[in-house]
Amino acid sequence: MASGKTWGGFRLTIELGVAAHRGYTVGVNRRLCLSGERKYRMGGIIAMTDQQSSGNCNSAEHQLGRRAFFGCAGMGVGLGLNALTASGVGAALKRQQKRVLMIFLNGGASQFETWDPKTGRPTGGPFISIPSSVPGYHLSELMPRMATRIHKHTAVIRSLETKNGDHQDAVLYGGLPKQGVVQHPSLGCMLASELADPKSRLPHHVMFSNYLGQSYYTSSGFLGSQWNPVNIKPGRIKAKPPFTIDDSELRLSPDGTVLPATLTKHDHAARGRLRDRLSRRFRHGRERSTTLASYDAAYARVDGLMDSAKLFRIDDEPQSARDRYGPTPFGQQALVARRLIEAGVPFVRVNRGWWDFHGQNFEFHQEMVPELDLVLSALLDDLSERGLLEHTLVMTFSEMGRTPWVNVMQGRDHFPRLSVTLSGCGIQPGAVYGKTDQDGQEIVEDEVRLQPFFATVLKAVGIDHQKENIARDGRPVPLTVYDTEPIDALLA
Amino acid sequence: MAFALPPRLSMTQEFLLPGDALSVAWDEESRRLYVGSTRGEIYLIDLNQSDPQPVPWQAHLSYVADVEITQGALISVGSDHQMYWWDLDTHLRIRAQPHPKWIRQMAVSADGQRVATVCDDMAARLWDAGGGELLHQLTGHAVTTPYNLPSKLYSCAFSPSGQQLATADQLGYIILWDVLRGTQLSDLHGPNFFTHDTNGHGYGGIRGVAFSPDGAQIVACGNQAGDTSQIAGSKSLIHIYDWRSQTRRFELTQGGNFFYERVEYHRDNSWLFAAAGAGSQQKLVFIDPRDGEFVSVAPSPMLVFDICLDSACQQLVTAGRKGKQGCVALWRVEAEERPPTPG
Repeated sequence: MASGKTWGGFRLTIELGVAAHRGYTVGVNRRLCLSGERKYRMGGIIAMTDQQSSGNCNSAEHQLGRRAFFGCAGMGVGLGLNALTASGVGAALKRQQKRVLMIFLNGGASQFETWDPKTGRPTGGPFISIPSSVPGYHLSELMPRMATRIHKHTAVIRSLETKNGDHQDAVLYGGLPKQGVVQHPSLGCMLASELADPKSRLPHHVMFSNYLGQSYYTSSGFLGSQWNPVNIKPGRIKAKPPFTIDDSELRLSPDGTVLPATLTKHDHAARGRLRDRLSRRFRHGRERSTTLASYDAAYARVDGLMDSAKLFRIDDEPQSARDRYGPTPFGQQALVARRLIEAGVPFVRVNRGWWDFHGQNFEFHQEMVPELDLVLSALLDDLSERGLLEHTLVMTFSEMGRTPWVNVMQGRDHFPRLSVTLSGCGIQPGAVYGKTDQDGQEIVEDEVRLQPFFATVLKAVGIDHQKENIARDGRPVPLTVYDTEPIDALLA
Repeated sequence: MAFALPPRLSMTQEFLLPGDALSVAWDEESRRLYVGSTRGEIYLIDLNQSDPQPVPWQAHLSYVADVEITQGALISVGSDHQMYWWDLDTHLRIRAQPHPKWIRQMAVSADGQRVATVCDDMAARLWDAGGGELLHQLTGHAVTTPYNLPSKLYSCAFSPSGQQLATADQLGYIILWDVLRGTQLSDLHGPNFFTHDTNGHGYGGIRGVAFSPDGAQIVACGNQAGDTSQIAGSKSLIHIYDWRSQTRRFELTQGGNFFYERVEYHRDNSWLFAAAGAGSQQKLVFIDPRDGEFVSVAPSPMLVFDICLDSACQQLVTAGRKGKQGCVALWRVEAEERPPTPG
């Protein structure tokens, strides 16, 4: 919802997420050259100008295009990016900051073909299990790299019970409702808000989407839209086959990080200063407005994101690094994610999908699990070698698992029990927690629910899982529901 | 030549067993069936008994992808990477030849001297059937899909003369090999057998391949373009090629969201039989190979993953799944002779 008033022949309206916040009009000098019926979306924030004035410029070059803001919600900069790579600053960040990198397996990966194989059982499927570096623990033959690394950095949970076997993002809200008076934030938004350095202008939450389910899981709930992700969406979305290679255009950086050719840095900076001056004037007497705060934060994020463009440039990586992560889009996204983590972005999520294999389950897992194995092992090795893993929690997560039984299409259907992993920061290496029965049907040992899982994640990165935030209606809301306990066996 | 179209299929016996029946070998002389199962077991069904029951022995760690009989032994290959020779009477393992990955299928030459295997390392291998020695390792299929994900080598068949071997992969490529020399002769490409979604998931592949009785044609079967996770919106697909001229003679498609898994020619080229496996529909079809037309499309009571025709092409065995159980069925193939074409 948006509304605005004309001021000085120009109107700028902002809109916050889907919530019905009233828009606020701010004065904008005609020299800004912002014009005509354009909406600028910044994560959950939409800034809209809708004035046509004889005094503004309608040239395309002088319009800040919608794409220039699309998906941008990152908090940016303060630290020069070249400086971020300097060892001194990097070391300081390593000491101070905890970060989380989530690999989310959209669609629901099969636990049988990954972390909890049941070789030789009627439910086991075709793949055999292999021993891991943790005595007694076997995982799928499709994960030979992780099999040799489990003891180093990784804990496996084979007993996550979500009570929800559907394509819903409920798992990312800890099973709590995201609608209602108190809209709970997703885990990523929660972690971003807790881990973000307020002085940093880097994006605090970046998400790489994939082609199916690309719009899932982004709500920051009552925390405010500034914690929504910079969502790097695929270039093209096509719903039906036949597909071509071009339909899967790889995009590794957000839009809007490069100025139009005819807009100089000097002009861009001048506009920013003018906007700040006008905003300060307008803010007078409205200091308590969260909407205005989000508005300012959004502009700061855009600036920060533009300054962060270098982080998304995978070409800056040596070919050996690119090779290490493999030649697939997922691998290259993970490499950029590592760059972001290294620079200090507190929460990065890389989605890999689509794992919803109601048919031909084994054919697809044979393609995708080795890729996951390669990317995850490369990521852990890389972070470890850079001294970042002790400060970075890497998690693999999914909205559901797959059924033990195989249907007539040689697929596995939805199942609310799954396996997840935690690696790195604060995690007990080699811990294998929970157990399913011999057919993977029931959890027979150490069932884990979402709230304790969240509490474990939070505690691993040094966050008090019972910390209370204040919702918009004034009520205290803990990060995990009261009396939730983390799983100490998984924590170092 | 008098053709018999359309043939009639009537089921004469049916056996249910635990797990899906993935493969079947038929020893006509001894009237025994050997069935490979998803549970790693091989089932013996002795048709000489008045009430034959499937009797299992544990053979592999996981899926028994294919079974064949030659040189007085049963050979099985599995998704556990193993190729085993078994004594037909004692069911004791005679020999093992491990492969690097899932062995998808196996073929035996008409003279019984050669065995070919296709494996997901994208290599075909030629073996001496009796001694188990590796004769040739045949590499030439692309190892990855266009998105750099692992490809699969699904199917193989010897020509009737035993001089050529055809191998077929996920991307729709068929390579013809010189069996004696272990060299590549030719290749064919059916791009419609492969598609991918916008996340780069490869889909489809040639699941079955066979030579015509005169060795001039090759038939390939599988599935054409569909939703990768649901097998929805897809068509089953059959191509018939003249392999020497590298031309596709016929393309046959049918809607219904299923894969053709296996295809076999009648011994005198009277008809071509194809059976559907994984999918939401189950079909048994006869095709006239001369004009590439379906002559009979019948619903099947079971999913079919493998078929065996007897030497007279009067009996058929199908192995697959019925409901939640494995199923092996024997069929009588009856046909009336087509009157000679006037003039």
